[in-house]
Amino acid sequence: MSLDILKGLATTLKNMGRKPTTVSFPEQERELPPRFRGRHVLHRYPNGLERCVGCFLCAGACPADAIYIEAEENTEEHRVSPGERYAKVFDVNLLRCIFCGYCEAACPTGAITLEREYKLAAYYPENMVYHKEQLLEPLGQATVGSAAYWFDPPPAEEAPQPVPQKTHVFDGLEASAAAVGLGDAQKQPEVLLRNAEQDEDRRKFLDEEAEEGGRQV
Amino acid sequence: MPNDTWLLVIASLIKSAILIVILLTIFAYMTWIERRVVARIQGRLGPNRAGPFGALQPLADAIKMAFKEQIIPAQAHKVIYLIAPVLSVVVALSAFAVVPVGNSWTPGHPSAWDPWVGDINVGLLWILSISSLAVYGIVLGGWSSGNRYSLLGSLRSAAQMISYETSLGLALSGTLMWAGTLSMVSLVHQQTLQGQGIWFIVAQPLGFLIYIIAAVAEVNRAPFDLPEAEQELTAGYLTEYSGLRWSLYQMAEYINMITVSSVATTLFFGGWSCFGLERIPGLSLVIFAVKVAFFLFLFIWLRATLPRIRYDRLMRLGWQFLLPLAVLNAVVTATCVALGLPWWVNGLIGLVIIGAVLAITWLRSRQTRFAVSKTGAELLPPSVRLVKTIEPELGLVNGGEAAVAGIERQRTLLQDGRVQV
Repeated sequence: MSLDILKGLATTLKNMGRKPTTVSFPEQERELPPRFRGRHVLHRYPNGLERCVGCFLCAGACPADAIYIEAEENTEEHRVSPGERYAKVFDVNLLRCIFCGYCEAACPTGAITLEREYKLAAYYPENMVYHKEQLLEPLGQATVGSAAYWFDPPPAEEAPQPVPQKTHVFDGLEASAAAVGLGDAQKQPEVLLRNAEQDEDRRKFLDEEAEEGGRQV
Repeated sequence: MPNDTWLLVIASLIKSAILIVILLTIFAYMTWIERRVVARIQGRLGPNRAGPFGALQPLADAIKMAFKEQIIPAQAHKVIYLIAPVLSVVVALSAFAVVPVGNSWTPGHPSAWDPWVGDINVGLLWILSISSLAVYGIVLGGWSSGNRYSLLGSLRSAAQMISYETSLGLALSGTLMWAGTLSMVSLVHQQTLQGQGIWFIVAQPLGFLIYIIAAVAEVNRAPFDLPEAEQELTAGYLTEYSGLRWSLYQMAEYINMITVSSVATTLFFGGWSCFGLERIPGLSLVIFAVKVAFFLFLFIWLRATLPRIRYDRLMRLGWQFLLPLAVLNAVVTATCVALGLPWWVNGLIGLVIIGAVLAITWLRSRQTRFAVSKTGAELLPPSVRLVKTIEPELGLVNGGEAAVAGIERQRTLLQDGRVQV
């Protein structure tokens, strides 16, 4: 309808007085959320020792295979971390990194966190591989970084119910993992179970389960 | 009087040069203003890097364009391909020659240095005829590029411009009947206090509305920018052009925009006149500039608001809606002028027709209903239904009884052993 055109014109005119959503970037920066995941930082303890104990858990958790670690034993003369070992080499390839934060979640000592540094650019790809010297916070500084924001508060007394709250009948309309649970879903794909050559360990586990009177395969 | 003739020739040359410089400056700054305004409407900042507030952006663009490679496609008809954008700009610039941008310096005593290049007694006809030549630049450019997108874009443009030119001319004829002159200078004089004392918009509201719609289509601006519809035609007739020749086309588009804005100002909003204010020397130029600026802003505003119209609807709007209305307006105006009725009768009739058209469209839009299914839910047309994830026929919108029934049925089938798991 023709009057809708006028309505549209009024809307756009109103928008002209609005504050722009974008900001002039280099001079002005947007406030980042507390859990923002930018570049990695390696942390220290207040006594100057590195938190990283060279356990490789972050490298194992990394889905992009972006972390490369070489660990070395601590000695009495040369103690770098409080644990048995420390990371002699700690490289993060930021071109591979997907900033998922799994390394931070995997770290038992809170040594690695993703911080707010997001202005990452380089002229050469090799410059995007950050080494330990660049990642480690300077001596005399001991922060926990964004790990402080990642500790979840304890669950409330009343946990959310898995039954759909609207209808109280599970009719498939409100499907969610919480509502369904695992149910009778097959844990192993059929192909894997039929193929004898594949994955003996898993078959053994399933056989044991069957002997214990578990579900039939 | 050879002396007077020489003076006129020299004065016209100098004034043309000044006019071209001014028009090109306005074009350059229109691109920047348009980008800034559209950005503000869309919640962005727009170009603000070059100079204060980005005011040197046009200069930066010009330098960039000048140094860009001008590619000539192998399949292009070289001569025509190179001439076409120049043709567009020349036509656009010459159409502006008869527009009076201000009062004469000494009112009542015309001189060679008055602020218009030429006051010819068929001024408006000159604008109409020259601006309809604009289609040649586009069609030749699109055809000579040897690209199907270009050809399609230019053909669209040709059809569109010819279709809307009819309504445009007829819409202007109403004003001409009231003024009784084609000279642009006399047209403005008719609207001053010494003339009829009214801006012709009050006598011609319908004519003005038709003119504005047709003018937007005439200069290929959104929502009628089908010749360069990016989604369908890459860039239409501009596809193969690059560098300065591309910016020549842009230049032509913006200068045409300024021209149709000036014509709207001159014919419907009293040109440089503003109820006696124009007698203050120099102020008439400002008044004219402000009025034209308003129309230019309107063009930007429309572009930021309205989506592109579909091509068949564009043609329908032009031929089945605007043209009959324009004819009706011409007939009504002719009757009023012939019977010697005052201007407000014509204005009132125009407003009544506008109201009737709006009422009819409103009523027709109210009749648009979606079919209803057995469960009472609206059956949307397929194009709309895609958004909905639940089919209304299933009745899931009413609480999910059908889904429950389906699950029950499966359960019974399982118990009967008719279905093996």
